[in-house]
Amino acid sequence: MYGHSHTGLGALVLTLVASAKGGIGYLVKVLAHAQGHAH
Amino acid sequence: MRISVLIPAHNEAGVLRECLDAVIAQTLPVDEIVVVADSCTDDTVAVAESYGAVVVETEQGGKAASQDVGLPYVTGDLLVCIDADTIIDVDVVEKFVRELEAGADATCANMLPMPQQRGFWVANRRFAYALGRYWWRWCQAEVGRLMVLSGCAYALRTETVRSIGGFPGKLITCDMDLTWSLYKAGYKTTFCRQAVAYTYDPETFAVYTKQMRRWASGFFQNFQVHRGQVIKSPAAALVVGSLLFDLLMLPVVYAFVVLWALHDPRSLRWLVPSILIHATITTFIASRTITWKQALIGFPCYWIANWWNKAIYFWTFIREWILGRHYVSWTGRQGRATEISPMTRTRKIVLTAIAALMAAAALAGHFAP
Repeated sequence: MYGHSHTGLGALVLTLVASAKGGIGYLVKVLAHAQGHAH
Repeated sequence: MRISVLIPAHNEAGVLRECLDAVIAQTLPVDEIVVVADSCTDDTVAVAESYGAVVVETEQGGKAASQDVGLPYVTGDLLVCIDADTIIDVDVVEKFVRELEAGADATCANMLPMPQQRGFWVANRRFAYALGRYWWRWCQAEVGRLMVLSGCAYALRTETVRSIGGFPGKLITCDMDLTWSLYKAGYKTTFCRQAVAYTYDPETFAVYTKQMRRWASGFFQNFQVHRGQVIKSPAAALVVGSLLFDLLMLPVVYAFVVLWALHDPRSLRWLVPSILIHATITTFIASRTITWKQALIGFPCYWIANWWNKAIYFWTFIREWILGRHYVSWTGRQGRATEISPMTRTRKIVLTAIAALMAAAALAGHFAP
């Protein structure tokens, strides 16, 4: 639990926010990469 | 760029050799090893010297204080901090350096129990660490607020730790205090999940409970001291707030399940599929780090131990934040006595007054027509 593991609604919210942030970050990276190739 | 390794040790001759072997074997060689021998009565100093380490002898009785004693002896630009009972994979330093060069101010490894360790508590920890690697630690890192740099293996620029006045050691868990002191100074941490460090985890209920009590106390002390950081940063508020919410909802969930079971035992059938879904998802995630066998054995241990963890954290919340009784010393390998500070007089008066008011309100409600 150091670090810290938890289960419940809070963990679900944290997972959703992190996934959304990670997903958006990944899309931005992919788009930037694609644009770099286009130029 | 010079790389230094700082290892605080207290009577660790037995394990220090393995630790130093792993440091020497790194794919990216380190330039300097500083071992701080804190109150050692065994061969720790001789072992460290036989590896050509700079050895500093001291009598501090604590990890952060030992690290602080060693810090002036560090000449490297990058500092890798490792516990003496930890073995790092051969490419950990290389991965740390890559992470720091990519812009992180501090980074840490994912940890796992030593491969040869067995038993219920170790299986639980192995599962928890493996799960955290691709779940909650990933979540924390993704939102930009890793809860704690794994104390057993982390790295940062030497200048970074010097700029915050060295290693903070006032709280019962110094690694978390360091992490949040870095945030306070505006530094950025990352989780270098591909770097793996192996540590000796508790094998018995008594030792496990002792460690969890210390970690839980450190958690609440840390966020009492660093509450400003939590309020200021939405990412910190999310990471800490979501954990506190789950923790404080625990008694409500317990009460709800018990009442529901008393009312209609058949309605608890939903528990079976929910546990199965939980087991499937978490075992799959853990199996990305450990073997399927370890994951399958680990899940029930983790599931059971997690209730114990939460009970410890909930009680610690009451003791640290409500009763104001703080864990100031623990019975670690230094052999000190566990010490919990007494409640202050003012707090006793305030809590007694609140209890009396609540009792009066309850009685008034009971006897009201």
